[in-house]
Amino acid sequence: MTKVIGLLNLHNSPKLGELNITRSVSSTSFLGRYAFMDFPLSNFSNSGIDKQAVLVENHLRSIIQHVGSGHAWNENTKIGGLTLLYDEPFANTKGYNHDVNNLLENSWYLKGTVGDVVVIVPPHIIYHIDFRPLIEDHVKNHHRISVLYHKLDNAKSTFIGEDIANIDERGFLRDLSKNQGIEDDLNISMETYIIDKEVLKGILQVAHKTSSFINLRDTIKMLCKDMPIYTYEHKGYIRCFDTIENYFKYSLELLNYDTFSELFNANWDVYTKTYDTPPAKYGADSDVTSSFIANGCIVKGKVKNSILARDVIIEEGADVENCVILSGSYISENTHLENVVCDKEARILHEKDLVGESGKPQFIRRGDIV
Amino acid sequence: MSSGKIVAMILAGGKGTRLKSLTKKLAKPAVFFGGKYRIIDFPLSNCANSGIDTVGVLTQYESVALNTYISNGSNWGIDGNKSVTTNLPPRQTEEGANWYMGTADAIYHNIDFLDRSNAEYVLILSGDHIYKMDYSKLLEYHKEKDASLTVACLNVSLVEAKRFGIMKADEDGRIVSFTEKPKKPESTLASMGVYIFDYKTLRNELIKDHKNAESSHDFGNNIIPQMLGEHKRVFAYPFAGYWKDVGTIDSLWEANMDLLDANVSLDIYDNEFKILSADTRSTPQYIGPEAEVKDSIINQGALICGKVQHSIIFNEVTIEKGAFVEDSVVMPNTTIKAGAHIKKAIVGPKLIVEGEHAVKKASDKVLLVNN
Repeated sequence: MTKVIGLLNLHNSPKLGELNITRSVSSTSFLGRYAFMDFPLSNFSNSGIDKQAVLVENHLRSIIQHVGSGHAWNENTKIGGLTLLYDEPFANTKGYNHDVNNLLENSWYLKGTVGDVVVIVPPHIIYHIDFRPLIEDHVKNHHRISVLYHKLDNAKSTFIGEDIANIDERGFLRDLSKNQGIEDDLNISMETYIIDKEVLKGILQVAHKTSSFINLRDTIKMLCKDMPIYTYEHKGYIRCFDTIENYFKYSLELLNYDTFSELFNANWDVYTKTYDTPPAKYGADSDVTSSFIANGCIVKGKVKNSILARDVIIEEGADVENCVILSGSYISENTHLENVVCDKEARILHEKDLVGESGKPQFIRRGDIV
Repeated sequence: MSSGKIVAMILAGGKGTRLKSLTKKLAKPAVFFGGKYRIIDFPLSNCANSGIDTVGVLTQYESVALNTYISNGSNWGIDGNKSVTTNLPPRQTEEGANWYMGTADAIYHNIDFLDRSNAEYVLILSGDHIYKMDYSKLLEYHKEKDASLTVACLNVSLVEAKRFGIMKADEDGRIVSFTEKPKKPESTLASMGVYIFDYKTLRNELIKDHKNAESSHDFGNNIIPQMLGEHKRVFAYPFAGYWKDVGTIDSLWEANMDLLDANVSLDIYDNEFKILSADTRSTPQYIGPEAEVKDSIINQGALICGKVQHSIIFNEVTIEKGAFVEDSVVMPNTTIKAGAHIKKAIVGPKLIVEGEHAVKKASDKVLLVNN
């Protein structure tokens, strides 16, 4: 059996606007019940990858808070485990805080963790996949490095700034280049790599000797010219959460049950931290349609096409439409909210009519009283 | 030197015959309650919120599922380096193998566990009551009264009194008489089945009771009268708050409906005294485009496309478009098909329900829809 290590690489992930001032994408609330990192970590978990590490770029506190002991994603909590790797000496030094330096600074992890193959994934590209058949094929065919890609038909407006994978007719990667939104039909790199552990250690040395500023992606771009890097195609739900506008759009899009069923299925659990909140409670005059309502919510008013995270209170006469309301927020009586993203523990008390644009939601900061 | 250590022992071995098919394959404490919980979550969460760090759970009937659920107590956080939750089903020993013959007998057979735990006080609880209680206040009272035994009690109506252990106490709270399920109750002060004993006293009383061939080895029928006969200091602790024994289909339904009643004092939304439970790996709760949900409690993982009125809906329940559920409890993983109408019913777990399952009048008895 191939022994596999899973690395969730938080370096290189974009920022979801104001939502990511004090937290990274990985620990940002998603669908009322999850943080983004739950999806890649559950992919590991469901693929039997029990040794997991998170390469932390910044906002360590919010990540520690969500991960806890890591037991939520582990099958065997002693043989497996979830480790946070953080490049402490260079976390605040511009240019130096990247994945290669993180793994070099924490070289004990790869050295000391039993594994043949390492799977590296990003936090902001959301998909579900069983890595096992790919790893099996990768090992059987001695591929050493493999990259996952997805055929897009809408790349003019999605995955902007992500990597286009240029693939030859034999299925090998020839180049990585940035998507500038010129073409709709192209193969996009999922920033998901399957690499033999010893090869990865070699790559880190190559990178280090090339430049102190070169990261893993740039190294792979450099290497694919000279060495065979294989590619695997992924099919199914995939979205790149890269701006607050897309966060808003893709979140609400999942309120369509068909889209929802593409991301979730009964055989693919998504694990997350539990907060032991009671079930949601609906008042005698509540009117809720097309929405995700997390536990701990108390809904007395109207909610339509919206996502309420844990412990949100919607008072009587309130009217919430096309909104994402994060945990612990309070919407007072007779308040009309439309196209609003409301960060945690905000209290809408005085403004009775808050309306954003459907492509550009009004943002309410964490803990603010409005 | 006094350690002051308190050990909780939760009696969870009963079958709960009056819950009919709900306990066919499941011990009563493991029966679902309140959209998310199992009944035993309440005493266990009470222990956690009262700072109790050693808990023994006495299981017997269908013990495997219950033991698995309790596991190492991590769902209630009583699993750290300084805390322990242990399942205590009957076992084989040098003296032979015996089932637990009564509540007191169950504790008697675990005297070794209490000895090893260095218990100074033992809190005896039932695994099938719905209530929130800070046991540390009960312990304080027990110490203040210098009692050998303190019985938590509440006031019930004279009609209800016949179902309970009924006691009379003097002005100081000291119990002068105690009768289990009296035909003619002489007071309305009822035992909640929650006791704190000084362990030394309990140990002696249990051994004495064990030797008594005529005893039914029950706390209410035997141990308490025995101690009163010996003029031990037995006190009544007045508890004010919601408490319910959910022993029947009707009372289980009522307790669920109480969660929807603003006038009932059982608050599961109080963050400072959470009811803890196992987490389900559910998807977000989805309320569909044509759903209608009013006056209800709904757990994560539920998919609601129909109409839900004044009901409790568990995780992974699907209410299809065109289905109507009112005044009911629907347990996990059940689907209510389009066109179905459920009124004043408890619907068991893992079912596919079609058609009409509705009472004719609001005063009719609760329906049980189950396999």
